[in-house]
Amino acid sequence: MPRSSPRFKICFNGSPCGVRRALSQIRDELEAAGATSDQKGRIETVMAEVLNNVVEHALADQTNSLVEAHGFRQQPNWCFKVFDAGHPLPQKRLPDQGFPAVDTNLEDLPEGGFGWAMVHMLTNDISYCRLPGRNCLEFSVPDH
Amino acid sequence: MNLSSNAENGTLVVTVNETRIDAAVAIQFKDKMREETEEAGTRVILNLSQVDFIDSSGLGAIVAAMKQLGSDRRMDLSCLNENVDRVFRLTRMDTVFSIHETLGDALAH
Repeated sequence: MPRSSPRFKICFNGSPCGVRRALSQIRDELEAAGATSDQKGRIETVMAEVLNNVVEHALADQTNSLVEAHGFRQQPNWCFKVFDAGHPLPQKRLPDQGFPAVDTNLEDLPEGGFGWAMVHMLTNDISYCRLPGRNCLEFSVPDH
Repeated sequence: MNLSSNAENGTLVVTVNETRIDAAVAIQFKDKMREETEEAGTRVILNLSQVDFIDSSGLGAIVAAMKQLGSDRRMDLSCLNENVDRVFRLTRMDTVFSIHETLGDALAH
């Protein structure tokens, strides 16, 4: 008998509250599939940054637009795809991986710009493509 | 955004009575922190014992709250869980803040 491979799909409203609900649902799915608390934590961090970017940037001027998040287990990773119907990424490519400098004076400490850098640090095989009227982001989060 | 504060020997301990500091509430957190720490003395400890999760917006709001205190006052952090601690480590913000495991450690410092 082949072992069943956990997979799920979640659709949610592209708003900050929708993101919170989606993260909670994803957490429940991972829990049901036996993910460790370290895996759940890293995945939630990545997903929060990805989904916040979709809501704030791709869907900036749209209300009631649905976002889809797919997750499936492919050892030794959890793999994800996120689809939205918003604007394409600038230059149709992923932002780079650099973290803003923190060895600055107090008044120059950065208050943003961490999101994509954290996503790059915690994921493998991240790729973006633009489909007709849709964005698609794919990435995997390793078990360790 | 529910914050409460308590002065202990001249140190203001601000406790976040929420499980998340994220994009949905980051601006409210920053604004409430400004109110809560307005009258604070030279040291504030932000007690994150109830916080399970922060995202980059939440981190930015915590940084902003520290910057709001100005260079004559300091803000330390206590009781970070593994998820919150991970965000500080990934961004190297753990080199910027004094982070204590318990409130007792933070107060004794």
